[in-house]
Amino acid sequence: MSVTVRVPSAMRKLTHGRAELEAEGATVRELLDHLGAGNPGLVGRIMGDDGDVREFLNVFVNGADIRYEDNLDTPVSAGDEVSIVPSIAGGAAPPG
Amino acid sequence: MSDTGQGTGTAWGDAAPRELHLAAGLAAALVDEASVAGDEEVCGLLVGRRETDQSRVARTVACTNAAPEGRRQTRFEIDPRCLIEEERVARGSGEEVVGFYHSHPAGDPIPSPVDRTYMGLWPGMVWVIVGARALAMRGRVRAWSFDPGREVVPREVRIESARGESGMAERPITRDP
Ligand SMILES: [Zn+2]
Repeated sequence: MSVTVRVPSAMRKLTHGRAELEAEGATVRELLDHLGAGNPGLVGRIMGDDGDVREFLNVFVNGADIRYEDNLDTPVSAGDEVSIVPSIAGGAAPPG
Repeated sequence: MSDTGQGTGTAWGDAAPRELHLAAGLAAALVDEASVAGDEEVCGLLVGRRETDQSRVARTVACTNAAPEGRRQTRFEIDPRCLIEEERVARGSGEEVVGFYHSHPAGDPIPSPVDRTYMGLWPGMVWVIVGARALAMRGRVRAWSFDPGREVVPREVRIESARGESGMAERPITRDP
């Protein structure tokens, strides 16, 4: 059984055009490790060199932001939906 | 801004279509929404169909401005859950989120440096900005997108009347204060 990972159109060049991927793993980190083999560019966009989620990238598990859960160690189980969403923001002032 | 990952930017996205088609009623509604919000920025999603040369907006979806209170005059943040939910609604319909909109309550509809940074995270998306000052729709509602390799470029906004005529609307906006 696997977990569905949804990718926005803006990132589909990194997934060979696919909007959703199936991945195996018990945590978000394990999913990304599993996906990394076939989609190294995608995982590089999600995680920085420090191994954390990039500052302007959000990962949601069933609608919950993993920053408010256990970050990359947030558990996942079969049938869960993971969404990758770059930040959508802007403004005249620098972000705080 | 640190670590936006834009170092790999040119390779991971397609350019947005050259034109954005927007019904006059939708354009007017965006201007109204921005006016009603006063000095705070509004923001939301553009949902429709993406074709080779154009994106056609079928509807707009307002999202709460999730920026901290007191900062929304110069800042907007769309809660990712607004996008996730709308993509769920649109799935299988042939429609998709083709862009985002926000307003500049005190300025022109030109992307700020901060806007441009975030636009770089979304190649292929059209960003509509509703400005404050211009009297005609043409100058008030403008569109931009991040063109991989070329940075932020303007996109033509075609405002279409209910009769299906295509063209750039020049009528004055009468609901301004
Ligand atoms: Zn802006």
